[in-house]
Amino acid sequence: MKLKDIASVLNFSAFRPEPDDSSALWSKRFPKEKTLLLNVGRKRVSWVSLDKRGEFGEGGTIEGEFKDVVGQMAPDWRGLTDNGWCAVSLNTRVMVSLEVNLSRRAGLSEMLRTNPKAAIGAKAEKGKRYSMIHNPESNTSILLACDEDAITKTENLLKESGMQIGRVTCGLYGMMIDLIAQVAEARKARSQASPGQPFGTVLMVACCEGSVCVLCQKEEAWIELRSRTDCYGEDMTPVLEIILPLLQNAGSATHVIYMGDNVNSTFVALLQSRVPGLQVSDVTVPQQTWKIIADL
Amino acid sequence: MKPPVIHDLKTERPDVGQPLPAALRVLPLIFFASVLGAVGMSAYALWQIKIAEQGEHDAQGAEVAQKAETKRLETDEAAIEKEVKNANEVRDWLQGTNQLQKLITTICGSMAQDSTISQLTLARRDEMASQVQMALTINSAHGQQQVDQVRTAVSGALGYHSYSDNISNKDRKTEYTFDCTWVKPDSTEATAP
Repeated sequence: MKLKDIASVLNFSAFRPEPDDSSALWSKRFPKEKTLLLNVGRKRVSWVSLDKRGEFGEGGTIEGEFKDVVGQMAPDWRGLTDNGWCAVSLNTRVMVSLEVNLSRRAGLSEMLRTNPKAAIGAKAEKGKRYSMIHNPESNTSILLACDEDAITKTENLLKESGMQIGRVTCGLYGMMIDLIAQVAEARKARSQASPGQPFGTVLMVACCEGSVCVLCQKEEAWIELRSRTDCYGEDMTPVLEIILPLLQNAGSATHVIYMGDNVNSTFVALLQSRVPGLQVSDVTVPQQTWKIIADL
Repeated sequence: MKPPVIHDLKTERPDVGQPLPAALRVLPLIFFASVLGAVGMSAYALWQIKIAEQGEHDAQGAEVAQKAETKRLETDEAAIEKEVKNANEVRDWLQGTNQLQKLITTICGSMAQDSTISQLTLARRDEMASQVQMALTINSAHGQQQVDQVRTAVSGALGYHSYSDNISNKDRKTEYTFDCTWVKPDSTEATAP
């Protein structure tokens, strides 16, 4: 037993998860430490600090590719943390897809990280890292594939700049999971309040740092999914071009549920101007992306 | 449906350990409690040592005061003993003169109406306390008769035997000196009264 082990017991850090333990909540890993949350798009990087009380602090946005921005901003980012720990949300070089009949055996999530080929078979590509969720009421699953090269490059860039990476995630995929959970809760509440009444078709739209993911759900079944990275900036018209074909397929009674980076997005007004009478709900809450990245 | 922890795609460190069970938090708590207890006990012991030292200092001060008081009492005792010794001497003297007072009373009582005592001196002999040397000056027209009355009174009533009598008359003054020895009524030996 080393001295640092004894010290970690005496300062109670041995009873907390390690900072890079991916199975633990962010707040449990850094209970009294300032950390940094980064949201990376193709040509834009935004950040916010998370203080010791779990409240969001100083943040900002800068235009440019991450590899160019990190050298410039690293000293500032380092100053926003106690020990340089950060969580990164990659929204570029990712692909979200709808899959059918994927295996659901126990331990699959761990296998997906260590041996994707064994987990998803022929769908696994070399040089990709995966995450997936299953629809508990049908045979469909949503699969996230991210370029391993993008992840390792991001890790190396931040390490060289004196930062420590506690988490690499995809904010867009996290938003979609959050939307799916909200819709599942709403559907459950509807079935309890009005048994036998159909829930209808829902189009879930997640927009994060220029990337968009749209999932069409009819009753309990996931029907169709579209995702595209680096497709919009200040103008969200490109998002409509992805949504409108799905809307045509789903029908005019479809309920669109939108979640974006920040509140007061122009997307809802833009969509309603294009499709008058469409039921659109914006479920975005303040600091939406950051809350998802930090498990809040 | 939503997992509590968001997915993580980072390169995993192979030696990430699990946190220790929360129940074992009691170990560092016991350690800190022991440290606090040790510090507390040390402080208590130091406090008690300080109190003991103060008590010892007070006891030493009391011992010095007691010694001074004892010395003062011994001095007072010595003074009292000296006074007692003096008082005893006075008592002894008074007791020693008790018989002489009777002798003087008897001499005064033996005086006739026309006789007066001009001078009376009584002195014990240092070498023999039972012997008293007396010198009596009488103013009287019948000096010899008066001397006889004195001699009779002294030897009869008090048991003194006189000897070495010496009588001298001049005008109306009669000087009578003699030595007398007190003898116990049932003994022929002279002893001090």
